[in-house]
Amino acid sequence: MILADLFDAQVPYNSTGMFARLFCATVAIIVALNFVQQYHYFQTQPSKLYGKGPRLFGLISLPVLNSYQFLACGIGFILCLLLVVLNVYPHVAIAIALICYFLYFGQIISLAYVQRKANLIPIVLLILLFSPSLDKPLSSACAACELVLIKIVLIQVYLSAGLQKIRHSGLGWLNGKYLQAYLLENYLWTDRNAALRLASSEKLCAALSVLVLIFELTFGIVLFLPQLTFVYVAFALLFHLGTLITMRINYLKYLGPVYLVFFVDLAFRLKATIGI
Amino acid sequence: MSISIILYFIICILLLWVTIAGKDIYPFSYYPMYSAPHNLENVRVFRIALEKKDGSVAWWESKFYRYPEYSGRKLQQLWQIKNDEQKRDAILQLEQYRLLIAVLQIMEKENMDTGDYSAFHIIERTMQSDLKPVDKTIEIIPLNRLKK
Repeated sequence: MILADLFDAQVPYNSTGMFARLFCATVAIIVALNFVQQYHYFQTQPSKLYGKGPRLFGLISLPVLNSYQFLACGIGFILCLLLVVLNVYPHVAIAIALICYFLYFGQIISLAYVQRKANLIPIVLLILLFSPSLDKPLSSACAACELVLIKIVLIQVYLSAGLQKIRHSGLGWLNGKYLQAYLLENYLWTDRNAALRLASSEKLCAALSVLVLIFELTFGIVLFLPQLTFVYVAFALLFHLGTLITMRINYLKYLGPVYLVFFVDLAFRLKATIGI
Repeated sequence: MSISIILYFIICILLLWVTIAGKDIYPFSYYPMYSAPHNLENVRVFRIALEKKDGSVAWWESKFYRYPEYSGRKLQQLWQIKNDEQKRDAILQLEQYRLLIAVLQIMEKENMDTGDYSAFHIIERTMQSDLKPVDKTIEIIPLNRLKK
């Protein structure tokens, strides 16, 4: 099966519509749950320490908002996502959500669990915005290309991380010493014993380095061998949990919703079982 | 060819570009974190600690952990330059003060009572080969010097 076949494939139900509802509902809930904390962060005026955020597409400077504008963009973002869930003018809602996203997250992009980790949200919303299946009933047949593209977007995160390791460190990254050093550095920041315990075993660090690099470089295989999907998804979950516990790197919060792309069939089966 | 196909094609090109070139075109990003060579001998961080009026010293902790980490990294960079280029010492000292004033402002915005504290301690932390941390205070800066 080649990539073009994957893009041309048709599915007997609206998997894009189902994914859009699941994704938007999850992101709306996560943003709502973190809203107060993110507002507190905004109030500390992070740009004074970090400087201005990145330009949109490298071209457009994002404006600095006041408190009311920040709150309005956040609430607007959540409400628009909920409109997508309810299938009320979903294309318009996504377009407005995208604008709100860049204005809202542009202010707090230096927040640890936002920087780079939330970047897939606007890319996924952009893909959904141009999807002809978005406002169709869930029972209608549709093309599978949007979901294939969303999987590629997710795969790129890991492939890029793996390639960067090879580029900067070569196979030296596999010896475990680099991972050990990063864990120890993290320990000096946090005094977290989990990082120190893991770092104290060089063999374990080496084994984890090999596993992580193989995982990152081969994640794309799930496109062609979908039977391996759950192995990779389970590993990804463990990997992110591990980095959260030992290094405080939280990709689960805003990258997690994109993983729902692998659970669309399950959602349809669940829907049929419940009889909605 | 429909607009959606063209857009999807552009997205693929951008993903490919950021991955290969190792550059960001926000929101398209590459992921270089923890990819550079590192080893035990180079493990060193600069952390900010606060001295209370009773003389006790505690790490500066923020609800947003990247603040102490980022400030520490900046201080480490400044000290690196200081060691390399003595002539620019005064400018770097000013930059260090500017950074610590920003830290002070963040603490106040996080509702910390800065009146309880008397000084910032800049502490260099390294790791021994037996994986025991070693802390060395490299500078103490009275808060009243920054509050002026």
